[in-house]
Amino acid sequence: MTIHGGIGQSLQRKEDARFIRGKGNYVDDIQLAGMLYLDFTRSPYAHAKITAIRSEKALKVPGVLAVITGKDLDAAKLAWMPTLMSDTQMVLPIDTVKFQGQEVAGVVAENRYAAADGAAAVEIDYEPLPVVTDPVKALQPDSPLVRPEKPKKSNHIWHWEVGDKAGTDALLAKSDVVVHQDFYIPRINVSSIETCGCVASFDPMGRLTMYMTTQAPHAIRTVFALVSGLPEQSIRVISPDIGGGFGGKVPVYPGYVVAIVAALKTGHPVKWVETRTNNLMSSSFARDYHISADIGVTKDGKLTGLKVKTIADHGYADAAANPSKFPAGLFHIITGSYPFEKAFVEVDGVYTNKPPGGIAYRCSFRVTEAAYSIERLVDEVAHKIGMDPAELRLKNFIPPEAFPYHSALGWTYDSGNYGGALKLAMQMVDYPALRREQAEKRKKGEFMGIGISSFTEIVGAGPAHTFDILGLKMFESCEIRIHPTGKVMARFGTKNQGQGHETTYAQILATELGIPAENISIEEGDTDTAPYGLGTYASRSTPTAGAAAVVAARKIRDKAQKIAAHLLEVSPEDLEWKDYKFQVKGVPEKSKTMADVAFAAYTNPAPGVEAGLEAVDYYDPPNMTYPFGSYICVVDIDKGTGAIHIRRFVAVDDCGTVINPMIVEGQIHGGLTMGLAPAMYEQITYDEGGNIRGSSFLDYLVPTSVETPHWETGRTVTPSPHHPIGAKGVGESATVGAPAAIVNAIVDALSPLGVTNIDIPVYPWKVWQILHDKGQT
Amino acid sequence: MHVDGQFQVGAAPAQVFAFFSDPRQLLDCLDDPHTLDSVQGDQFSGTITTGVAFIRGKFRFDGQYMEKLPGQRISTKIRGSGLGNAVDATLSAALGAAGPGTTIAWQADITLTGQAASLAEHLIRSTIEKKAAGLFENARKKLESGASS
Repeated sequence: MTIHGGIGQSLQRKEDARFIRGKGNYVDDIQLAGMLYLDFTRSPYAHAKITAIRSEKALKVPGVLAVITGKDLDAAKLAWMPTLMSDTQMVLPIDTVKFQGQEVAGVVAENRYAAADGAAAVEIDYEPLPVVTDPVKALQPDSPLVRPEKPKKSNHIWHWEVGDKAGTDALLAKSDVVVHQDFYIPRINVSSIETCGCVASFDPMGRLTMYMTTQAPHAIRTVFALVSGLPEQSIRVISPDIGGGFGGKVPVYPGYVVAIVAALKTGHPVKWVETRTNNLMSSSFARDYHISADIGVTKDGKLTGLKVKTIADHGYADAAANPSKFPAGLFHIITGSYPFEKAFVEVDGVYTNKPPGGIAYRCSFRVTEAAYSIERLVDEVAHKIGMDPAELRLKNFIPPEAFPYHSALGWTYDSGNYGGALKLAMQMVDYPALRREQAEKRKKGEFMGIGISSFTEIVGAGPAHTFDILGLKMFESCEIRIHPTGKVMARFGTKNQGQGHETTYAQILATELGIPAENISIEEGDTDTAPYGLGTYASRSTPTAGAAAVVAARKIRDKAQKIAAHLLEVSPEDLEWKDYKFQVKGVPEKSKTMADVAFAAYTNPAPGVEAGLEAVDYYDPPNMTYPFGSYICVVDIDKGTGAIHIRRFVAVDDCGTVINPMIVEGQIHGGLTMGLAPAMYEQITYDEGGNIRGSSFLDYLVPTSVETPHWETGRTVTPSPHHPIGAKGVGESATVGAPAAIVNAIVDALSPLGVTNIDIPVYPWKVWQILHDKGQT
Repeated sequence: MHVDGQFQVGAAPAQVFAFFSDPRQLLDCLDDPHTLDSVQGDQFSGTITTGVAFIRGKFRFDGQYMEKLPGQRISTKIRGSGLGNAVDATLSAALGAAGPGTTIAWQADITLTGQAASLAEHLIRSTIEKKAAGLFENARKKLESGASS
């Protein structure tokens, strides 16, 4: 028997009914009476002293009401704010700007055009200072200091390490082969369709309502309370529909804080919505890791040790959105799908004259950087020792029987069957035939490549004993209310940004409560109504909030069983939950549905059982979950132009129990495209003066449907043993796994020319240059 | 960014030097709308409404003559800002007699930061070259027509 809309069904997304009709309600759709608009005058310099700010002309622009500067904020002790990583960043600068595009003065006006005109009319005098945008140069003793106020008097922020350095060195020393490779994973921007924005509004009693694009409404409310001194109950954060987050809407941005100050100062609601260029220039970036790695292997292909040194460029402030304990995120998942005996990872955070950040762009805290590195390294090992990359992986994978597996860097993997996923991918793509075809083409001087990536993710942050953000433990919550008519309202501490929570949470509850999904409404994103939670990012919603939904539903079932027993005039122990209803054991025709019970809960409660049918659960996951997959990419390279054609891309994913196959498929497709992007298109660079290259979609190349290849997907199912329904989370797997498969294919195609690496994004001109240099064009 | 050029004008070096020593004359060679708000000795300031691609608007600037060797050489340093951009430029011209006229070898070193440098990177050089060429062509016309006096 099935329940309509239960787990495993490709239920159409409930939220799409409003989205496809243009009925979504985003921050910029919010219109309040008397609302004003905020815009910013931004710094043209990457590093400069501010010698004067003159607002007079701006205040004469018709419609401009106020200009807010860093000195105004400083008077209220709001010029600086804490970052999520216990660093500090400016809301508005008092005397020095640190990156090009930094907000310097906020202009409040009656409409957004006047605000823009006013921002252009603010006159600011600067004295340019030396600029450093390269983190390696920033570590030199003679480098300009980005944060001279720091006691360290260095651009070095922190050093973090994990693993056994001496043991790894010893293991590498006795390995038959050690492969060294440097990787640069460029700075990129999440480029959500909707940029960041907010509306700040105070009611007559001084209560603040913030409509804002945040992935973590409750945590943001707490941060606002701590920074502003406002009582937390006097702050309501409403996160309406969000047009994509991907990690970029976790941090607190200056625009949010200045909008609040502007609303206080003017007594009117104030809206701030950044432009695309503002977003690309100053919102939180991702990646920007300089990685140097050594991997050891025996001559017969057994991986031994892994040693990785990384420089993490954080811009002018460490505003990464990582769990507190891990300044480099979960980068130490870098041992991936392989049972290294020893490993050692060290990471150094560095300041430069760039926007602050270090967010997890659709990956669970630096997992993409890790997966890219290990999967590129494994391919390099295969080329070096002359072994097929698939054979090398199959020889080395952590075997299914080894789970729970304790990695050399301290993680406990819950479950996996890496060989199963790779073998399915090889079967789907007909791997042996492709290798035969490649051999034939090489004889003819053609460049065809096959790339594999067998990645392991780590998601679902996280267990309270290890994971917190600013001290807030990373549990997640669900509150369920079943109304007398058997209809359900469930609220969560997470926040949907396109993941389909309104559908998948309803499916979980449909299965657990025996109530069709169409009778279950899901609500998130309002701190006045939803239970406290840490929000949605890092593929954590299903592993944490999904589990909270199950546990809360089972609490309701426990109570409902007593009410059903009362209705059926039997003992609760005489009942069993079967076929989505309470049945008298052995007498299935005597039964009560959850709807029957719900009505009774309000009209005929059992003696000794309090009225109502509600439950709440704050779920603290016992462990992370570890989704995985194997991707195979096939490319053909045009010798004349260097153009890279992705002929096939097969993606086999394993995210444990699948709640909605259609939504998982959509997540994989989107994730693969977001993995293609850094591999071949996206990057933000800076010139030596700190001018950003990539501040519009003319230069920052987001792949469109034209560039995106046809994705072929497959699935294996290896449930998580500790999640109540075995689900693992899937939103980010494909973004994590795809780049290495693509680059491995390109390098494989060019390997006969001695190519071992090409820094991403792999543009055709880079390939053409190699072909040209090797006399192939 | 460095751009340079050379041209001849049918006017004597002293006349050319006088022309370029006067910020009013110099600015009137710009095709873009502008104002000269103050001139105090070798310092001057004003505004210019210009742009690259779709980034257009009013820039405020301060200028100062750095070198004046009558009949030989003249150089100016200009710092301007507007619309989220800042420009630091050094303009210099070396004058040489060429029969009854003058050879002018000019060069400009320009540092542009801000939105224009980011958004219109690919268009800046050609725009600056075009504007510089226009400025000196206008100067030549004025000098040869006697409009400079």
